[in-house]
Amino acid sequence: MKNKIIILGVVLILILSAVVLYFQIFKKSELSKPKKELSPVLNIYNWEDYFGTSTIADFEKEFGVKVNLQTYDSEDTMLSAVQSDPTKYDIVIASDILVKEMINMKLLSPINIKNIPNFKNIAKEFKNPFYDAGNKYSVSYLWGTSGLAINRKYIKEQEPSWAIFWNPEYKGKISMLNNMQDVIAVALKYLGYSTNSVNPVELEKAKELLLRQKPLLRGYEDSITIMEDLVSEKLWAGHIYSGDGSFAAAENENIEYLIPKEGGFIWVDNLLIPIGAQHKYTAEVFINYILRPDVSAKIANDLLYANTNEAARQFTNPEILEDASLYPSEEVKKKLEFPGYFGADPAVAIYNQIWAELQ
Amino acid sequence: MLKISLRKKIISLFLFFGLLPLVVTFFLAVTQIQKSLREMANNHLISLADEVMGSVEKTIQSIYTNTELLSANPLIRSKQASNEEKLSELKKIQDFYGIFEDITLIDLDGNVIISTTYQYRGDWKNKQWYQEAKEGKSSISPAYIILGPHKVILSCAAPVKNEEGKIIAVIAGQVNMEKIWETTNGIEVGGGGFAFMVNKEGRFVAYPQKEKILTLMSNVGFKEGVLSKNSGVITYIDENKQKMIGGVASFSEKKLIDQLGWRLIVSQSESKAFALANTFQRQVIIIFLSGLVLLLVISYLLGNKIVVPIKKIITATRRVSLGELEIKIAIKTGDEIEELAESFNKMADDLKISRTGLEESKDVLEIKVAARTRELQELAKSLEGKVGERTKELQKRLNELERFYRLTVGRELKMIDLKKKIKEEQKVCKVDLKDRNL
Repeated sequence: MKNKIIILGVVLILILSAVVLYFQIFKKSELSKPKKELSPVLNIYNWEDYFGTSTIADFEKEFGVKVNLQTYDSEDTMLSAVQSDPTKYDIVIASDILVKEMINMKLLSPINIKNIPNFKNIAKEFKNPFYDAGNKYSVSYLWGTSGLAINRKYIKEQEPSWAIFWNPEYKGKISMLNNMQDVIAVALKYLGYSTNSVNPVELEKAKELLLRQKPLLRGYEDSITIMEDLVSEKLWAGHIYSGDGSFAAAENENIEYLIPKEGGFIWVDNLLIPIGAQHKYTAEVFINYILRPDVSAKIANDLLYANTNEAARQFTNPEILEDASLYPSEEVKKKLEFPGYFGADPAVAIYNQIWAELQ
Repeated sequence: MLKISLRKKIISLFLFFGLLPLVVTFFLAVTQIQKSLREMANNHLISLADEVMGSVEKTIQSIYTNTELLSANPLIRSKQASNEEKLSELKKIQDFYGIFEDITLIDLDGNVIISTTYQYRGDWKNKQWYQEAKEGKSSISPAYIILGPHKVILSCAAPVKNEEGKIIAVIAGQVNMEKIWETTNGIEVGGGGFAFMVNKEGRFVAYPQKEKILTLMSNVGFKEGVLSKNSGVITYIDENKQKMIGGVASFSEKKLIDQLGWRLIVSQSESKAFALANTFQRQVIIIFLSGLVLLLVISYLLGNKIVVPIKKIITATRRVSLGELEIKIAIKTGDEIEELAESFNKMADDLKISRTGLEESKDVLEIKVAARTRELQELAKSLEGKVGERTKELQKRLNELERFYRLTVGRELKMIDLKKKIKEEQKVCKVDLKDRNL
């Protein structure tokens, strides 16, 4: 009898020890794991008017998360803000090459793709992109081109060309984008060079061309301002992103968005999480929400941008899918280039200097 | 009742009284002295961290001072000077100070007026340090990377004021973080120790392995621990699962705490940091174990010294109890046990003498008994003769009596028969008489 009690006691102690040990390990492993709980708020920094009209409200309603949305009118603005305080935003949006730059600047947090099952909806051609191998830091959102929007009432040239921006007849009625690489790329393309030239001679010629253009310009402005002023006909021609150009065309029948014959930039915008993001899991939940076919299609329908979401096509307005200015043909695509990554190339200083001189 | 041998009792007792001071000494040595040694090691790490942080703070302050001096340069503030003249002046200053990688003059709209290298990225108007300088306050940026070429830099911005004191521009000087790393990497901690710094977000801003710069600390607990204190020590487990200890220091100037919030940690593996304490602990353990072994050996030997003679005595006692009184115990301990053995031997001797005496007495007694027995036997024989004679006499008399008895009984029987015959005769006579009367 006495032996039995001793064995029972030992067994109980062993069981208790095992339970305590398990909870200790469990507690430690739980601590090391990021919390999978939705935060009460989510801070998003996006281009102005770059979500669907009800995207944020629908998300807030469905998930009970208050979204603080702040907007920028230039990627450089976003970059400076993230550099200043990487903890301020949970999601930012940036285009391809800036994604690569931000990765190399160590400004981005790796995305846990397991929390984004809707990533499967992305079209194959937009997965594993050249600027972020394996989609470690980015999830593609919308894509487009940088082209020109013209008002046929005032612009006489029939042929779509960057030359329109150098026609002195349109002085004060033309605006260029407030993006250094976009603007210099236009001059380079107009001169017949690569949009991503790092040749100092070519860049010097581009600078001279842009300096000649400067007196004709109303200014270097953001895409939304250009779109609005094209619609109101304050501007006759504008350097603009495809979605905003198409939106202006939809609002004013005289306006047409064109990809110039010389070619231009093609780009892919991406959803990113800054390295200091305070609500990383909620950000991933939001990205997953954005990639839902219905949500994604609604955004594309509202914004008139080409979508990277293959599964959203079934919910997208057919006229958008058939719009050649939004989904250019393969032939037109051949003339388009993704912005170049200069990395440590000394040409960066030349680009900065040209841009400084243009201001 | 539990039976415990004397040897065990002696060993237990000895161990108890021997171990008690040993254990007390051990714990005092381990807790008190080792605590002091550990505190000494901790204080060493903290003072190293303070020293390095002091140097880093001086470097940052010199960046501030130099940027403010730049902003106060008369040529830069001048309305009359051309941009070419200003650029030439900035390049001269850059060469002279040797601390700036780039100096950029920015207007109040955030547009670059001139720059010595044009190596920057992003727009200026949204950079926090530019905005603060525009507000009239010198400011420093967090450490960040620029890509053309790849550098980790700090930007310090200061307002440029005209002669009336009105802010007309902002001047920003870029300083390569290598200047700071010279200080943090130059420290000699010893024993594989090193210094590193983290910023407010828990990203490394200084680390011996450059690939870790501006990456986020992966150990969440350590990150929170570091960011929650401005000085003191912190322990953590590094990526190689090694236990580490670090002395933490931060800026002394509030402005730098608010703007940069860097923490410097002078870190060393616990085994190296506490090498002295650990050596001491090892020695204490060795001494303790040696003492324990010695104690066991001594108590065993002592137990033997007491128990073996006692066992001899016990064995001898048992043999004595079996009658072996010739036994002698040879114990030369020079103590009470030897006395006991001698007493035992004496007792055995005495017993032996007593037994011999007893045996002699027994023999005498036996002889006496035999003699007496013989006497008694003879007496018995004589008595038997007498008894026989007497018996014969008695038998004779008995026989006479028996004959007499028989005679008496015969006469009696005859009397009875006669009486019976008389009665029968009487009866016959009576019947005859009756018959006659009839």
